[in-house]
Amino acid sequence: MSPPGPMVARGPIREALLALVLSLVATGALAADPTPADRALLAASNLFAAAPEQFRARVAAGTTGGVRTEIEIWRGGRDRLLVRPLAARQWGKLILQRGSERWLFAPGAREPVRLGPGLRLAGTLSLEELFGIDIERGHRLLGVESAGRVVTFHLEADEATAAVTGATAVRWVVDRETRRPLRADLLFAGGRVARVVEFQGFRPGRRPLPARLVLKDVLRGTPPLEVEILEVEERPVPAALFDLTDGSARARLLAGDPEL
Amino acid sequence: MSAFRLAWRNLGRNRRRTALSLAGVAAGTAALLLTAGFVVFSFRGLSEAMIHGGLGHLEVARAATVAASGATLERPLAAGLDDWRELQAAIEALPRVRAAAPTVHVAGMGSTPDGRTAAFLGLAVDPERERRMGFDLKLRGGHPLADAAPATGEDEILVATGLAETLGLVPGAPLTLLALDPDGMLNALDVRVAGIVTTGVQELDTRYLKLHLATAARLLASESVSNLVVTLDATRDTEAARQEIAALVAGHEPALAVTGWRERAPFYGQVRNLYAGIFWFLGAIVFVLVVLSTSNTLTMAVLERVRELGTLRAIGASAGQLARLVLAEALWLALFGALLGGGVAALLIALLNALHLQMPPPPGAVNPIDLRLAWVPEAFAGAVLLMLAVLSLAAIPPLVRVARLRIVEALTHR
Repeated sequence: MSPPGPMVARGPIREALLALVLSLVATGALAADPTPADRALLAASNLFAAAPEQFRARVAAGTTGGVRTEIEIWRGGRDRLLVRPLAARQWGKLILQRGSERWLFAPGAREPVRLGPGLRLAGTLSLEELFGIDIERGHRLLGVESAGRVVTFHLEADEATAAVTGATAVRWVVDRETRRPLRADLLFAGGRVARVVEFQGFRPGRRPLPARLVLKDVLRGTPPLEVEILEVEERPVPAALFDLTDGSARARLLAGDPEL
Repeated sequence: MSAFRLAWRNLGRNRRRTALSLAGVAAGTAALLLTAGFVVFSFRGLSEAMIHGGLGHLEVARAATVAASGATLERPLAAGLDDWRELQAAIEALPRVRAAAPTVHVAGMGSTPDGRTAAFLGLAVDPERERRMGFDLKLRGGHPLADAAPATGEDEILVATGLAETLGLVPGAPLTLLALDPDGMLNALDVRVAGIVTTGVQELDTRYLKLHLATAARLLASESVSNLVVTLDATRDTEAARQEIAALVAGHEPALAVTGWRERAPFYGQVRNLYAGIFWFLGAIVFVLVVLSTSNTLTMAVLERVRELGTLRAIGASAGQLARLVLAEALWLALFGALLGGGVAALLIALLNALHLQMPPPPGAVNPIDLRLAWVPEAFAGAVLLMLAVLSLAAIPPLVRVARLRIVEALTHR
């Protein structure tokens, strides 16, 4: 009689356990607790933090074969952005972001119009997606998965962030070697992917600023939006541009004042 | 003497029985004609309400848009018509066309100064063209849109009752419209409520607003239009006009589609099918009732005259001659019963129409509808033919009896 072997599950039980483990791995539920190295990698890949505190950028966005829209973006601090469409027929329009609030200034409207979180900047383009989601602020790191040089961070958005982005969770996928993000999946509460941002190229230079992005609205199934960041100029930006009541600085901007 | 003359005299011999038979046939005919009158009036009313409610007889839009979104009412401006003025002029030069009006379909949000917001579905129109086309405007307050394009900052809209209630709007109230232009960029425009309207459809009234083409051009930063809506001098010319317009726009780049109002109004087809089902069901009941009652009457007429028919056989009349006689009586009954029924129906139609009765609003509609019946000559002709066929059918059992009649038995029949 042979001695009893080690206690192992046999037959259907073993198969069931194996299936459970595989499904947990597949869903990321077995994502490991983040290590200090993981946190450093996440911080290094945070495009939002890497972007200059104040800058002016020029961006072109459009679907393949569709209308291409050019916009100018002024960043005046972590949560202050002013967006101006550059097409002649869009003259006079401005979108102002102050924290979680967004306002539309239009030549046909006397007062700025407050925009809800569901409204997109242009097509499927949103400001968060354009300049990277601030993954270190407004998000809690739940776990990390690693496969070769690809590291996936599972992040949970806090209530305020979710109200702005419309996503309750983010899967932030980073290349361990380049320390730059490859993709961001924005998820709804049920775990369904709502939108995907693919970072397809970065601008040369010390800062990891994206040069090309592709935004996919998985939920609506609209054609992917290709975004190209044509120009980024690090420069001081007048705080008056973000003043909700005094529009004189914005009027100077629209008039093309070179002294701005 | 011909079978028909003899049959005519026979009908006069038992006037009460003949009157009863005629009453049965006349009642059936009148029931059919009244139903047909109601159905036809409903169809005509519904189709004209749809056509003059804004659908028009025909629509000219980009073929790709029509293929993508079907023949629905939704036409995104991004795939609109840029050269619509030339198209409009060419279409309006066609002989059957009353007018061709550009429309712009716009969806967005409306927000009031006190922070109330609601989604809207807007239709931008040329008010002067709309009036020329005979489109209904059910104004519930305020005034209609001015014909002339409003000056910058003077834009006005008409708001449907439900949307006005949601946003707390009254004539003269300010509202800011927010919409995406064809490039996908947001825009906002201040407008003032000129009037409150109803579309007649409860669901649509919660979202609908109407604006001038010039206002839509400012809001959407585009001079394009979603489609051209064409009305004709007569609805019956729809197919002919469609072919003429299709020939006119053939070869246009991008390709255009000419769609008839019926294809754009699936609701009409559904109602028509429902009414047709009711009409056929009722017709079947009338058919069975008339067949049973007249067949019984004709059989009784034969049974009461067995000795007489036996005598006719005895003096040389053939079974075929007697059968023709019975059939001729049936056909006389059918003809006069149908004529009488037609007269009764005509009187009832005139009476009901004169009473101006109203029926409650149909499901989803806002306004009650007039109960009116149409006199349909085709239905009358059909009813006469139907009654001739029905009575011929009803004559089969007595004809069989006559054919089997034995002279000796018939002569001794009591």
